[in-house]
Amino acid sequence: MAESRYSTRQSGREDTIVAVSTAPGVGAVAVVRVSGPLAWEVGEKLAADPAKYRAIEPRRSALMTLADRARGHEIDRALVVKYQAPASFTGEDVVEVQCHGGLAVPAAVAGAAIAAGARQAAAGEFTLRAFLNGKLDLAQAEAVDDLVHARGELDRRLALQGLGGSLGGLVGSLRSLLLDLKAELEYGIDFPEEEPLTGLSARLESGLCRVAETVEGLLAGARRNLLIARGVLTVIAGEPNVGKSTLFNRLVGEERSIVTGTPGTTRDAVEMEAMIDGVLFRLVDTAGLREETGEVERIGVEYSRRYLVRADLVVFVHDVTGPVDRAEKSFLAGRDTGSLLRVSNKIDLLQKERKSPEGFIPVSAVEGTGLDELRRAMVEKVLPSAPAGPDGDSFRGPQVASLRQKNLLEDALAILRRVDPGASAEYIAADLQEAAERLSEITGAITDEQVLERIFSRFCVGK
Amino acid sequence: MPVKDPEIVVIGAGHAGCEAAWAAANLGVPVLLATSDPANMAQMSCNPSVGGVAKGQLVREIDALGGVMARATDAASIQFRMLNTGKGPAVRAPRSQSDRKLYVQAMRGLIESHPHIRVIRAMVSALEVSGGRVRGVVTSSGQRYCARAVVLTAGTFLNGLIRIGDRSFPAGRAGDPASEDLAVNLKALGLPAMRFKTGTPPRLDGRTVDYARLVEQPGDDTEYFFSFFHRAERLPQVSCWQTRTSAETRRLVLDNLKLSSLYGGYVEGRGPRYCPSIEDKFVRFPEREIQHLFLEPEGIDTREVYLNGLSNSMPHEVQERMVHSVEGLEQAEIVRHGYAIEYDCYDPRALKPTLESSILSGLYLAGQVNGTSGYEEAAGQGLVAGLNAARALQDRQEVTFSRTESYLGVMLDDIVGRGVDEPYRLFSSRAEFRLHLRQDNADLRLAPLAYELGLIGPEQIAVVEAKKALLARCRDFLSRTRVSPERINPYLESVGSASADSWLSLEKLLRRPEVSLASLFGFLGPWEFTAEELEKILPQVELEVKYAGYLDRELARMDQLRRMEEVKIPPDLDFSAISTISHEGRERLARCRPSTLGQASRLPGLTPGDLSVLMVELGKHGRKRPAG
Repeated sequence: MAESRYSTRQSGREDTIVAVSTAPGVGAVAVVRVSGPLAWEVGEKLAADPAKYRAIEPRRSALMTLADRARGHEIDRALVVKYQAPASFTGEDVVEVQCHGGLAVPAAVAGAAIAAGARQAAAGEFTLRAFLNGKLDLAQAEAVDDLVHARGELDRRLALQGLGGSLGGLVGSLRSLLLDLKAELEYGIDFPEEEPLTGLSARLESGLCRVAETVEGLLAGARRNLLIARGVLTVIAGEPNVGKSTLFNRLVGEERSIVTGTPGTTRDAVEMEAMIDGVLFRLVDTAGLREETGEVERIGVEYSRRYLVRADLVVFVHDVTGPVDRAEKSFLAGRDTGSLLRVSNKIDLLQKERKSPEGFIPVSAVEGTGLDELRRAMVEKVLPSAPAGPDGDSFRGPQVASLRQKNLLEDALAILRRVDPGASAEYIAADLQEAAERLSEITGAITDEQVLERIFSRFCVGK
Repeated sequence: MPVKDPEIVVIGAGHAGCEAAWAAANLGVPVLLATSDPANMAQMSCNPSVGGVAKGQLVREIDALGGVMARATDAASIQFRMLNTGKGPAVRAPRSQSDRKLYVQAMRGLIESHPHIRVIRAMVSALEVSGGRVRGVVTSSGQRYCARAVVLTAGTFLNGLIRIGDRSFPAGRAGDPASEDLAVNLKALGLPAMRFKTGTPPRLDGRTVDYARLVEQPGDDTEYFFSFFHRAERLPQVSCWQTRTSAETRRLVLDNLKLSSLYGGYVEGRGPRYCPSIEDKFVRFPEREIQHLFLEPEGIDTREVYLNGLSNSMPHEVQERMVHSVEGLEQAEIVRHGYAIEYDCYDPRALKPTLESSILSGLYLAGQVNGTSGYEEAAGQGLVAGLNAARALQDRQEVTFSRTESYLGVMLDDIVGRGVDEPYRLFSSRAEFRLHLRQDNADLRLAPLAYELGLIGPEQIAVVEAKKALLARCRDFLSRTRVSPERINPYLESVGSASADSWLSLEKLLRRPEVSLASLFGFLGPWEFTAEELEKILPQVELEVKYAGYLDRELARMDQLRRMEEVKIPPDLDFSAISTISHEGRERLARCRPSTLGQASRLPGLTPGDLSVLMVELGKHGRKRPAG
């Protein structure tokens, strides 16, 4: 229940919390963050040389040895940064430790901090503190959430733009444009005996147009951004024994799926992540698509079909030495080509005079040939012809970074589209107000408990 | 005198005082109504008009709640206009020009004939207070009246100071003495005083006006009654007249600004932005060189004419030259000069939603003393104050009004929740649920409550029930009745709507923008409804069918607001101790003392963070979260 969630979080507001702020097991560097009135003292207890630690000025980093003094051993050599309240992410005193990544080192740092008087942070607690201390508006809070989820470089850039508040700024200006127009309508309603405004319908039309176009522009990039933010679900599909698992392992970069020559070895879908040119792909190796087969395998095939429905991208694999696949027709019929890549595998077995079919990317998963081209094609499918900005960067400017923002913008757009310019002013005013309220929910200017609840329930430990 | 021992004393018999006395008396509580002059009861100190956008809706609400304003308005109406007829039913608003004398007469007749009201001529000079509670009042002649509750509706009389040019003199209104002792007493009792100002234009002798050079503004032909329950006799109708200022008027105003009380630096109080003086208009809107003026007759048998639009505080001789510079008024004589008036009022944030002072138990405040302006706003508050004062004495539950149900609720929430920094006036744009808060359905919205409270009787509620049944019957008829293409196509063609190719229900037809209920019924015949019946419900039915989507969305937002309103903030919550709320937020909360989370959410300057901390804090206090 919502109440308990808020009150537990709230109960320990004055104490000092710690958490590993980077995703576990990913990256060469991990960040451990301590926040609260005792943060600096906790940091000092971690330092092997307290005098050196005390000498660090706020917002300056220093390399030093961290030690678990209780147990009497060194933990790591790490960069330490102190932030002084209120000039920190949470608005409290903060110590940030950038130590070696992996699982063991960050956990040891956090453990030592707890031994020194900090408490393990609850989910979303850092952001809640920041939010409650007025350090973040809602759009920024979501961007932090995304930043912590961000594993790809593009993803990080999107999140950083959200942090700068530029979406909030743009949306805020659209909102005030709508409210300006509403004010003109209200003038006509509340002061019917004053001179009516001239040119209002033209201003209304152009204003609505401008807002709608801007929102459309934001939404155009939203699908791509959301894909990047959560990873592109990529399904490798095809008939049994065409080499899907081998290709999957190549792309993932390790031997993960069991690869045998027997059709139907991969009975369950296997999901792994691969970072390609800064874009995170969630690769799924599925059981071969085949119509009639044994019971266990049939379940696997069913599972594949379900994955196919959800896939952002399908890599359809075909054995270039085999006959033309029926599967392509029966399973991929109706799938738009924008989310489909066709691959001809086993080109190493191909006699020289034969070519892989038109529209297929020739690959040899076994030998590793053609993979770069496949990777490039995968990235292009996700970032197709995103128009580059004047400086060649298509991610400049405000970006939609969460599903909530996208939904709100879509709502606002639908409301603006239903405005009937011929209707009586009070109905147009009602629509403008409603659209402005949707936009306000993005910047956090108007909010209610349900929104907050949804946002904070999404946060995971340590931001 | 029927009233021996009053339980409630009402100070002031203006628009607020009369409604307060009436509501309390209707609940059977003996009321003493003290006024400096009973002949000036419910005096229209400013323009002789009742109603208008939002205000007209409010008058209808007061009527549905058993109040007197609509009845007096109907009895004194010499011109009626429905404003915003070009727009939808939600913002259409009735307005009446009133015969000032007949209005007073009608109100006085009602008030003085009420068995539980006793009117006395007296100036109250102090409240009697002990143990944090008001116990009665003392008059300037030393007379004491005990009372268990006091309703203060002193209008502009408290420390009233009239300013004309560089002259100033204490007065409650032109011709009436100010209340200075009471103002001193109230300040000493700890009421948070503010200083507001308002103004009024000159009145002319109509015989000296050259009407041939003015533009006539006749009223509507339709007969309209503000009251849902009572029918008054229709008086002869008169016209208003329109003219405009000249270049000379403008020059006179700008050249003599130093002599104006307002611009000469004499006035301290804050005036309303929506009702600027002519000095303000010319100074603040230099691009508008011409200003429209309206001549409103003050009555049938008086020659006095109200010069709407020329409110000012210039010396008399400048006012005369200004008037003479206006087309058609070259020879006009001023009967009464315009003036500015400054007065004490009290921060309404120190009130409960019942309008009881949170500083002094048993003291209720209504009208201009709460920093509002307007007869209608005052009357609405008077009703709420009188009603709650009486219920408190009867040990009954307080009655509050929600923004989701009435303009009355919007006003109370606005002033008590957020406070005022200029004389507060209602606007339709303040009501976020205005598609539901209409003049045509005020009875449906509020009469059931009024009946439950005993403010209206069985006869009145029967009228409302009948209307409700008629509405339901009409809606049912529209959805049930289907017409053949042959029958309806000639009509559709005549209104420029696409022809039908199958049987259609009337409701479906009505959803088409070209189809109106009146024209549809006109074509098909009266069916089973009389013209009189239809007139009562036509706009309402049409709105409900044509704009169902808008109404539904408004209902959804009402639900959301009600959920927030259900989250009560304990009156003893110490906002200043919630250190995690921003400094500004804490200050704002402590000053406004919102009583619900909904009210807090409408406070400007409160960040979402502040609001969520507040939620958390309320959670700590073991608040029960409403389901959903």
